[in-house]
Amino acid sequence: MRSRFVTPLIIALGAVAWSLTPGPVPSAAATSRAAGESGGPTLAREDTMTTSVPEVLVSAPRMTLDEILDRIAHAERRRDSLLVDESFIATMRLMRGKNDVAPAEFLEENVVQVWRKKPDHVRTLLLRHRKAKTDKGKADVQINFRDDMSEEIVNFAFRPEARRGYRYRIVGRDVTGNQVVYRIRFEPKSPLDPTVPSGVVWVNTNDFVIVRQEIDFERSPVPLLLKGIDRMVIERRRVGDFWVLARVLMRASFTIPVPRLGRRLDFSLQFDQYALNRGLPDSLFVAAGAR
Amino acid sequence: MIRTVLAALLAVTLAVAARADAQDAPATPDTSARTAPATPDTSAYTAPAARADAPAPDTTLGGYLRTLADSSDAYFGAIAAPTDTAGLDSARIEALEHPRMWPPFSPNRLSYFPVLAFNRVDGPVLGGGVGYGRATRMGHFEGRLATATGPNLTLGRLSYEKRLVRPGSTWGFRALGGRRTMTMDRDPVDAELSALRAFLNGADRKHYLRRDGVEARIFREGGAHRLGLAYRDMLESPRTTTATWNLFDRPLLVPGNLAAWTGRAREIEFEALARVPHTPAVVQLLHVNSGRGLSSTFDYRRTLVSGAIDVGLSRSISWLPQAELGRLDGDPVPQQSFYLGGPSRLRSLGGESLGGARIAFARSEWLYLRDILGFARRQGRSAMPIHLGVFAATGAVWGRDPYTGVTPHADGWRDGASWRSEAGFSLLYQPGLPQPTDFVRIHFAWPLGPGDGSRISMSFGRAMDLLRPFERD
Repeated sequence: MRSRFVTPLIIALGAVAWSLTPGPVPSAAATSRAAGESGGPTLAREDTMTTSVPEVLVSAPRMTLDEILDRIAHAERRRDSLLVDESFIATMRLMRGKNDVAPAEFLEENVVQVWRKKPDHVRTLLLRHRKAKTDKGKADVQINFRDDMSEEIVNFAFRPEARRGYRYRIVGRDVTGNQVVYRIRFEPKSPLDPTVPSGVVWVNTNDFVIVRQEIDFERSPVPLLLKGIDRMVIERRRVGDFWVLARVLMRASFTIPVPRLGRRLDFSLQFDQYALNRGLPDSLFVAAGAR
Repeated sequence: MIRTVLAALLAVTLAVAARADAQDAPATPDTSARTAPATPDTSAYTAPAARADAPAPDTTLGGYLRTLADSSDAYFGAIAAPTDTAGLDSARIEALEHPRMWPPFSPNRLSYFPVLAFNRVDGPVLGGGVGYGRATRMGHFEGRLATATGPNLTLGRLSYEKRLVRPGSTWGFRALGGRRTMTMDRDPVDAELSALRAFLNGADRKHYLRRDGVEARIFREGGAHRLGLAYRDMLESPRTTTATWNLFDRPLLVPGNLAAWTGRAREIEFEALARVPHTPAVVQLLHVNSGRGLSSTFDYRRTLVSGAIDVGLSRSISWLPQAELGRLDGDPVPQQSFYLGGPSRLRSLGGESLGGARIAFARSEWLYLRDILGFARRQGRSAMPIHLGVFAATGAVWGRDPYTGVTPHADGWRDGASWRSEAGFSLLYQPGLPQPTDFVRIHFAWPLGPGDGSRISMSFGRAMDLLRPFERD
């Protein structure tokens, strides 16, 4: 895999350097040296290679964006179809900031154990609940999980039915070890709905699964209250054969100081201690509130 | 899902803000006392700066992602700190052994809400309602009871709604029964603003009727379509004006109320809504059939075909052409006629100014969705971003006029006199509530050709206001 990408890269660098440098060019390394020494334009210089590489004509077509999008949709569908049950610990944490630059202060944390099993079983068990010392209020923030394991929050813009509503473009390719990660930007075609975000996803091309996502909102979804969502990050990590949600981080700013919150709210959801396809018994879901 | 997170964020904000009022209240049972007795140790949430002694850069995918995660940690600070998992195993065992210790979040809660309305046939409508459950769980039950103080009439209804959400599709069922005051125009109208106008200065142009009975609707919605079927069995009767006052003591703009035909309407409605493949277009077909076969007093067939396109010309400009064609065959029942005028149709005409058994209408609208006053603001984002819309529209109604009972344009749509056109602009504000695509709009419309001059009107509703919305939108 590595040679597949390194070789064309060297050839491409050589070709560019050759086109920018007058005179005959004996090798890629020499070309780079010549370009650097002549004071002319240098795109890049490879100075670690000690051997010349024979030219290889690359004729394989580059994967198109549509093919990548198809593969992402397929991979996400496949991931979902292979998941039968899962359990994890989810931590929802809230912190506030008095203003845009003030350090965040702890507000509340809930830790829950979640079990989910197809077709529609879900059980949530509160394990720990913490509130700030100063918070004497009665109302608690509670989190509830749906029975869906497809992680729509990650792939909402890449589902087949969503393709009509977004524009996509490749904004970068990163080589990491023996893998290539595509960065794909998506933007809603229509600006009408301010709750439909833009963003960038990182797609691992080994299995075409989304491994990370950064989301941004062009306008505030609720301008009267929210100045904007400053940043939202969704991260996945690999557990066994599956990529699963690891964190959802969000920072929002308010237009006016909200009582007890101030000007800023940090929100996080973290997922730990995953156990996938362990054969959860149905009896686990026969409890109060479970389905 | 993103909307869910946003909704959660909003709910959190409101919930936490609401606690401010409870600050000085007597101490209520603190659930934190039942958990780890420790008070939050904020020192645990250290900013992840302590990764300075990390090993040499990892060039694998994991290392690449860790690098990105580190940048997130640096930005978000303490909120991104890992969960302290100490004690969670024993907490889990304890919770499993005592499942009632912390009752799970119950979506089935009673909710209460006021019922307030105002129009010239009911006068002030005062009452309340109660709801229970969620449509996506066991179902949502709702009851409303109110008194129309003008005619001393009791209004109310009971309803049940159930949704079955599956990946890729949603099934829905709704049944309701009771007595309501409805507008004569059965197509979308902004009832809330109309009530406000009626209450403030009597500028209520809508006409009303009373409906007593039941209706039920079932639908299936997929990613690109919705099919629905509804049945209605209601006694329809006319209403008369009972409230001639308003807050500013202005004379009523429309003193009378168009009389509905009296009779029991039993009808079946078929609804189809679809996104046209590979285009940003949405088309809608509504067909209503009522006849003697259903033991209905009336015999009519009402068909309305609408279409709209949402073309994003850039990240801040949207072009929204919309059009509709409708026809009513059979009995020319006023409550089934088509009406032209008002914010959702011709904005240079007052609401429900013209009526007929046929309608053709088209509007082209451009929306500029950046803050047009942004240049004058000191801070980057405002709580009141004002957007701009420019529109041109044309429309006609022909056939039997429900106001006069005659057919004014014998040649129908071919008669140029039946057509009205207009152009204008709107100032828009998008509050994001209750629906994300709802706009508060102030329209400045001028008739093109003969007309009554310019008109300023206000409306609240969706941008694509000729179509019923998708449930998932």
